[in-house]
Amino acid sequence: MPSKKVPTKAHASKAAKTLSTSSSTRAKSSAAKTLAKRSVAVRKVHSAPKKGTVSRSTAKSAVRKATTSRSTRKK
Amino acid sequence: MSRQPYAACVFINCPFDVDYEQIRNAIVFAVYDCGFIPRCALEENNAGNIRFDKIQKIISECKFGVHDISRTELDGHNDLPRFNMPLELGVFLGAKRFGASNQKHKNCLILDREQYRYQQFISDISGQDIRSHNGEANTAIGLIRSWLNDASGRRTIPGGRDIARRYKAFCGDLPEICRNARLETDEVTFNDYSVFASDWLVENGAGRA
Repeated sequence: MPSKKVPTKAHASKAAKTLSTSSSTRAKSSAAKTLAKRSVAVRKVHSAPKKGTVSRSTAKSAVRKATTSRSTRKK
Repeated sequence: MSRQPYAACVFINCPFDVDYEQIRNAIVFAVYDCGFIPRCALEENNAGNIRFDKIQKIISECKFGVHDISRTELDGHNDLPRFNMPLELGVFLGAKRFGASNQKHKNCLILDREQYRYQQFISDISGQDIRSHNGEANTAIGLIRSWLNDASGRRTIPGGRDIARRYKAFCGDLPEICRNARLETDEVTFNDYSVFASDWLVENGAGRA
């Protein structure tokens, strides 16, 4: 009859380390998230290729005023 | 205006009626937020040019294309269907198949209201990337984002929910933007909307290309 294998303390410790999320894995995951956020934050938006029925300066000013007004309302 | 970069241009082939406006606006906003340039037959208001020539020119200048084939209903006036969207999809696929080397890199997303409905009216396009937006703006945003992310290989494209949150905020600001620009909301043209969306994204944290 084959004898029952009992894991050594060293094996059990190694297996436990493999299963748990190590601090270095957490750090790597956090760094990846930071990098992902940063790459999205530095994304560039193109200008609209054609002019609309209002001038570009009027459009820009209209957008700026609306954005400022919203942030003022929030306060 | 200088020529736009081919690899950043996305041809928008979709219905122009009021019922579809919410989806079209969401698609245009999402394309800008992903860092691309939406192009559409509506951007040209020069009546001197022949419409189909304009469309072909815009298609030739776009690497990417979004084609919505959901409008299959019969026209209320003459009981006939509209064939413009399938025609423009055909031109896009033809350019990819028979065009010069840069045209062969074209990549398109085909949208419909329901998954697999196209098999009943345009089954020959099986094998293309065909997705269903269910008539919902946020679903359309998610589809555009995922497709551009995969097709372009760029790693600076925000998540779909992130774009949807900004789109909601932009929709909230739009009536005031129109008031500031002395426009009624129903007077906003495709070009006006594009300028507003692009400027709003820059004003709210994105950089300018």
